[in-house]
Amino acid sequence: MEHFHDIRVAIAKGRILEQLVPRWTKAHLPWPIEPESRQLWFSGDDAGPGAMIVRGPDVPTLVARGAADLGIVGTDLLVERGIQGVLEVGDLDLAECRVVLAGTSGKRPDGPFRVASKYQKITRDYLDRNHFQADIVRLSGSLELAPLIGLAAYIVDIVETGETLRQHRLIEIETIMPSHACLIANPAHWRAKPEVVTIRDRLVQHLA
Amino acid sequence: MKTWMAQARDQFRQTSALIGQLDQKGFTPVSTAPTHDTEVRRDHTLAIIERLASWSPEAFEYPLKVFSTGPVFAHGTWAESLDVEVLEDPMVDPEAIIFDLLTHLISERFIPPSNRDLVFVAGHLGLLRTLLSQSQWPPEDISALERNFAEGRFSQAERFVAKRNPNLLPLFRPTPPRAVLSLLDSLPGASTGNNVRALTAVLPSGVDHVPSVLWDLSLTGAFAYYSGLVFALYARGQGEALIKGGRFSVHYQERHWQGAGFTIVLPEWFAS
Repeated sequence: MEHFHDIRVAIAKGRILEQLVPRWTKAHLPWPIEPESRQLWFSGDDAGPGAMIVRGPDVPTLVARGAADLGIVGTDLLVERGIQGVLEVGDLDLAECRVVLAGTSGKRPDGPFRVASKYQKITRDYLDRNHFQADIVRLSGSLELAPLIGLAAYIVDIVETGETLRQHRLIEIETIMPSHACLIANPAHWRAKPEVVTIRDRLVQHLA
Repeated sequence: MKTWMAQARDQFRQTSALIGQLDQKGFTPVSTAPTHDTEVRRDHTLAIIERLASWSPEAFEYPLKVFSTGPVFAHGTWAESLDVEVLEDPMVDPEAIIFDLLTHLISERFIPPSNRDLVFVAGHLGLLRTLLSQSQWPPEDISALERNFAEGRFSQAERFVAKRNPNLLPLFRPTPPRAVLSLLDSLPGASTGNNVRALTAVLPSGVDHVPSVLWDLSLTGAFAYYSGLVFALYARGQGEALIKGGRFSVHYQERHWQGAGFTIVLPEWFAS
């Protein structure tokens, strides 16, 4: 009989956290996060692992450093950071969205331009692939403002329904990559704690 | 600051005691440079070979038991490490001396320095390639699978195996030797099972605080020079291996170098 009390899962706050509860409970794991709580850390017990709620970009770092056994994060952030130091052990098929190029005109760029994004690597790779000449303006949020205030003609951002883009009169031009939640594991914990593999199997096998 | 200095002295004593054991077992220190032209030292094995390559082949008496200490650069940071290597004649298997030393260090409680449960995990690149070749995998698909494991893309690797040989999936996660042997013995051609049986016999097991020896063919090692058995020693609850190693095969300056060795990641070892 396995016990999960010393297993910790780092969960990206936002849409992943919002959509995770049904998956978790389908996997016969008690949801450790108390409703309405502002706490960021919830301990596990014999029946299920503990959880920590963190910013998406911090999930791979916590897992690579071994502070969390498993992490649940968007593939966009994993591609942006690279998967050094972690194992990508399962697709969770939730929080589906896409990283897109958007602008005010809806036309593909022609000639040199500026693009605002929080995704430096994804944007650079996309620009190189398409032989675009562009400066990347690094922003950490509220990207939709950039074309409206003349900071950059285009943005590369993550969208789910496209509603926020529409509200800012921006038009989606091209999908750069689809993104969804995926499960990552610390390599040492994956191999030394059998419970980590069990949790992964339960979360991945209860997708349908 | 007092605590910090006491801790530093304690770590120095632990490292000295460990080096004393290597000296007793006939290992010779080889000093290697932490930087080399435009490159930094990412690993001691190649640095040791570069150092030894200045000697003519006639000067070597095998097995050559050496070690090197100092920081290596990995994941964007420097970490102190101690690297132990046995260079062996190409006709001789090099693992026995390494595992004899490891078993000694573990049973005498040099590894880990405190009372922690250890898990020894072994993979094997040769076995992986043989198994997949026997299952009619083309060489390029075998390379792609190895690359997925080396880069940590396990779900992609799992899908790849599940599509062609779902019966092999248990071999790609930590599995007790008995279960691995039973699976291998059920496959056509008993040689792979016999190989694992022979290798399991020399692994550091049977020591009272090493409860688990597991096989996991997804463990392929971080360096391209690994050629056969690869292994890692973990302390439960610690997010990095205490020891990583394996058999290596390197072509350097028109000479073939082969042997087996391991690296003790000192910050992890101190923390264990």
